Amino acid sequence: MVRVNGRGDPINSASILNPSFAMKCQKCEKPATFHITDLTGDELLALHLCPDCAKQYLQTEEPAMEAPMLTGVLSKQMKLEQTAEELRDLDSRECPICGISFYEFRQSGRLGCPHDYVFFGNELEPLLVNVHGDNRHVGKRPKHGAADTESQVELIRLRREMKEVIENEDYEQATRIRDRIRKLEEESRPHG
Amino acid sequence: MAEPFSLDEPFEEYSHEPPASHDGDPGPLKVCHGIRVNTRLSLSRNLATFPFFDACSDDQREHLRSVLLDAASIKSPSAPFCVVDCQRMQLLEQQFLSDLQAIVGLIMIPEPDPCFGETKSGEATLTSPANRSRPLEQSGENDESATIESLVHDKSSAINSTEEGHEPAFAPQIRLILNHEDHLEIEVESLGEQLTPTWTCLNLFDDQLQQEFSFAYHPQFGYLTACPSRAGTTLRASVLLHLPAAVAMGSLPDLLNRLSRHNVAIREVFGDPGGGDFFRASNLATLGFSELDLIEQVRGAVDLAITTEQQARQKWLQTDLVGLTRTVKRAVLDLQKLELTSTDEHIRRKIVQALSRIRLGHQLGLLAQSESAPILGRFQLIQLQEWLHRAIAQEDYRAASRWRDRIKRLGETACR
Repeated sequence: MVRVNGRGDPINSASILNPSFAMKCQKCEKPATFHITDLTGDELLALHLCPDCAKQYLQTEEPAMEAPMLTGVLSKQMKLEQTAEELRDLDSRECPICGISFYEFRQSGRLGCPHDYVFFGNELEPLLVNVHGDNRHVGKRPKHGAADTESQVELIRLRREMKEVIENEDYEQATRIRDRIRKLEEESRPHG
Repeated sequence: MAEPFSLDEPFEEYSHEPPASHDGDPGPLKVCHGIRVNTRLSLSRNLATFPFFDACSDDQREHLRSVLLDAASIKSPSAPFCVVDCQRMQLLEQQFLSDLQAIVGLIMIPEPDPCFGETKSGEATLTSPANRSRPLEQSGENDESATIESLVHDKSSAINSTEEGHEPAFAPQIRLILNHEDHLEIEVESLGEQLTPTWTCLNLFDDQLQQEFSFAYHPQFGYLTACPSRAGTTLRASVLLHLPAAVAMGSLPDLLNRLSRHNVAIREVFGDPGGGDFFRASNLATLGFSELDLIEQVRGAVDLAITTEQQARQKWLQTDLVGLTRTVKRAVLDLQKLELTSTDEHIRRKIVQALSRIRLGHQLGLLAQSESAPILGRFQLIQLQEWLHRAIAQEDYRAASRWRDRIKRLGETACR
């Protein structure tokens, strides 16, 4: 039996992987052959650069690049695919569950909750292809039956609501939300 | 049980290659386990009913920490784990110390807990001792009755045995990393290159935690992480490689070029960019490949790196045996002069560079154990003391007791 990856290309010990995969330099379009991990204060910066850009980066005395890898990729992708107005509209969209905006995601490179993969799915798919070379999972799956996604999303929304009512010191409402959360947690507990 | 590291025979266990002939005849190339220092695999998981870590309130983070630790303690495989409650630098510090110990060849896994094989309530864990001799399935699916105990103690399963020799005994170090990018990162580390049993151990632990929790998962995108660059399998599989000759002989750029066409990155660790001898080969993408695919990618990259390093070593021996011998012997003197407890980056790099040369000297037969044993013994003692102090600082007195016993054993060995 020939094992294949998510794109249907065979994998064997002789050819490590689909040879068409090549990560691009974060500063230009050439293939990235230098992978540098830089410590800048408390932040860990992973950089993927071609030989010329790596040489330039290592020789410069300037501080490290501002954006981590993902935001760099996002930034390039947005410039190619969106007009300024479209980008503005996109940036203002907020996840109804955790409240994170696309702009905040673009700045930090991190999403707010699992539902963001659904809410921002159209924008994330090309990003995932850019980063991983694919956008479809072919690995391990949870062994227990399909989880009740609606309950899971509702729980995240309730937790956000709880955080807000506590900030507003509405403890009666907080109690009601807490009871609702407990009930949902009990119902959605996996039985493995 | 895996034998603890002994000063008497620190290196034969890790280098099966006989010393290269010094009369110019390179001899047959053989796989040298000493080039592969340690293996580290990790999975990231997020609970499906919570926001990702950055969006959680302090209460939610504390709640997550508590429930994850409780579940891990009850459900853990029989090997103990340590918790890294993570500010980012602490994790890097732990990994750095762990890599240092692996470089010297110290097996740093604490011994199994005396209550090995039992849950906190005293009930038996998954399997009976009769199952320990069953060979492991080397697929993505775990044998339901496998335990970490069977992985560690079952020498008859021929894990990673090759015709050339054998890998170090499998003694995994398990870390639960909290307060990092995601709710939980499970990291398993072992000496040498033991990708398959390390993955089996990690997968088993993940399966057991999934009996307790629903982790965030999407049918298309796989396991979901705060940063999409890790979505999918979320697996980071890596092997720490010792490539001093590839660096010295200028073979590294070509190796990096060849690997850049595949899903593997080789990152320098410890040293100045372009100045160190240790590199970590790890997969880049995590989506679109299965976990076993990713492990095969890393294994293929490691094989390429070993071949490159082997050829470079032969060339170095043939072209500059005298210079190389002088370099490795001087490294022993350099290490003796350095402040081994220093946390200064510059001094640490020098320590690592000296260790690199000493390690190379042993593997090539240019350095006798008696020449380096005293300073390496002192270095190991300092490392063990560091782990002891950390365990006490974190009030993990069980771990502290284990480190104290190791220090005592090291002293007894040195006195023989």
